[in-house]
Amino acid sequence: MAENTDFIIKVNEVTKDYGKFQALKSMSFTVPKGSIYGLVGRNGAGKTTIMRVISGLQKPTSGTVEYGFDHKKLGNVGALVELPSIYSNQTARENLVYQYINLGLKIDGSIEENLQFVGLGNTGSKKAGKFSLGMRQRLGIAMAMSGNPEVLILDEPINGLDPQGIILIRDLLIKLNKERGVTIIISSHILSELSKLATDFAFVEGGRVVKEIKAEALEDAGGLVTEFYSANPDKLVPVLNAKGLTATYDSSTGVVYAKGYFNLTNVVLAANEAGANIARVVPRETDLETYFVKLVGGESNA
Amino acid sequence: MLKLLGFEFRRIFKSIFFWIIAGFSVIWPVLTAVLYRALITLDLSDGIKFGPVRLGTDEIQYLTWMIAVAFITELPKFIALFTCLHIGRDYSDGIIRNKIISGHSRIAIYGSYIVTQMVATICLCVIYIASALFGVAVSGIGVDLNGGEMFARFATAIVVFLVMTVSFTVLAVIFRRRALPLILSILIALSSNAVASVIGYFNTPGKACDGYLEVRNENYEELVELGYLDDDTADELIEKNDKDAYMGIGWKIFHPVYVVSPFGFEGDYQAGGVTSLISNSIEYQKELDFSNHFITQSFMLDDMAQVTPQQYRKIDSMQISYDELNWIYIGKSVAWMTVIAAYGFVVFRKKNMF
Repeated sequence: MAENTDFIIKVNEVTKDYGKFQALKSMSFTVPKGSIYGLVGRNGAGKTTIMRVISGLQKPTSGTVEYGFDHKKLGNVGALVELPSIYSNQTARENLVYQYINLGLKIDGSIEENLQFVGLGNTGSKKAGKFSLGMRQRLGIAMAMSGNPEVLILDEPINGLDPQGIILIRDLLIKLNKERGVTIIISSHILSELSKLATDFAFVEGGRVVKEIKAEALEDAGGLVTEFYSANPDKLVPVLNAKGLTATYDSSTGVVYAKGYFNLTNVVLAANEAGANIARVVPRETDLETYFVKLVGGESNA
Repeated sequence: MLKLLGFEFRRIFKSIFFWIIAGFSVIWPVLTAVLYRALITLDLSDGIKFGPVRLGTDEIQYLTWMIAVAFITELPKFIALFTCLHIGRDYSDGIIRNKIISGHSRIAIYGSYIVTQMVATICLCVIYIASALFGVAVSGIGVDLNGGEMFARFATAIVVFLVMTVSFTVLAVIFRRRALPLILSILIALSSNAVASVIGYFNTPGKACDGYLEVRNENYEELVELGYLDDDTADELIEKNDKDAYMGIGWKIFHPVYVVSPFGFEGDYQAGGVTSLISNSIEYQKELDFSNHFITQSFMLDDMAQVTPQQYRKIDSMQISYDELNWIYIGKSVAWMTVIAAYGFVVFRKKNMF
């Protein structure tokens, strides 16, 4: 047990075999304290398996998981792996009462506070089995965060939710991270949503982490790339470089690629002055999905 | 562990199904007692009438025991259903996963299920026994607990029953899907009576048979001396009705099962009561006597030696006191519970949770 470290979880060379199938192949990554750590990968890449291993549901075949906190203390790890763990024949409040007993917490007004926090304060006697998927997910998160966990492990928490539900969960997770300082490890198929949340990313492919990257670094690595179509590319490239962009000319396509953000009016005026005409401008933002596809190749199926 | 026990007890005592079984445990034994009373006092000689209850001490004692101990045959199917549905829900709703993620050890989770299911079973058995005693009292049959000795037998019966509860719990914990443990548990519950009847039939100790044959042979010698039999016929009968004729191949197969398992409980304690009734002797109130087996076998085999109850009583291995028998059954049951629970934990400890 390592405490006072800068990481919350450190996965070291973890391998997990199911019979002859190897789901994790020496997977390693480090989750910084206070981060929202996004796991990105295709179906079957090993995201859920590593979440199960981290949360103690399964034991790794080899390798270790280090925790930067007392992970054996009741309630210090909260998780929502695949489906929320809730009694479908009980109300939201009764589910939380059970979770409080499970964690040895005093049953007090904080139950109502938690329900309010996840937006389920007015569900009354409605049984959890009759909740919408989004409500069940939020109740699952309320259960997971009952013990004020150090880390919250969420596997596809927005899967199957409608846009409003996605926004609610996103806001909730940001609030948990910012207000309560909870480190969140999250995987999602919806990469656009993940990119709005995560501060760190790990790209998982074939049971391994192929790349770990900070959100800022991802922006730097990708960012805006604009295609300029011009009859005078040799005149246009210096103009774009002078405006702080990184411009290159691809003679095979006849397109000038410029990386970086710019003021279009200024660029057009400067190009005109230099005698370079611009026929067409196509901005292409490199998002998480594009980055992922570039990294692992093929179609995105995260 | 205490937190998990609190969790599970809350769930059990909030379960509607648990209270339905408790309700059954209250109503059924009272109804049984009333029906027994009706049957034994039914007079059809002049229409349908019910006469007064006229029962001897042995009969009252036998009925008290039979009606109260019936929980061992009536409750298993309900406990099987309850255990599998109760723990099965924890799997289907992901609660076991939640407990592991929360930081509880697997042994604490497993132990909490075993302990709470056992306590729930004990509660239901006690309710059943109490209602049965109430039933025999109010129905007019009367209550005779053999001077309180019967409570020790009831306690033994509960411990024997707990072997089934532990088995149901282990099945429910090691299989993730609810259907399989449910089917297996119901099969165990329903077949346990038949298995107990078969195994219980072969309870007679080998030594008791040897002792019986010795006495029986002496009787034959006396019959020869008295001129009722000639030597050849006596030898023929002795050879024909040997140990194999009394015990048979079934005994060789099932007696070892009887010795190592608690399956013979019902057979033993019922046989004790029947012997007591047949002999109408207070001597049998505190012990099980295996002579019942030899009495019935003698008729079937045409053994003419006519061993008397007094002669049976001189054979030491023919009787065993209930005190001793209780401890034997408690010992066997605890050993089986330990083995079954340990096996379940070995499986549960390594189980991948999805």
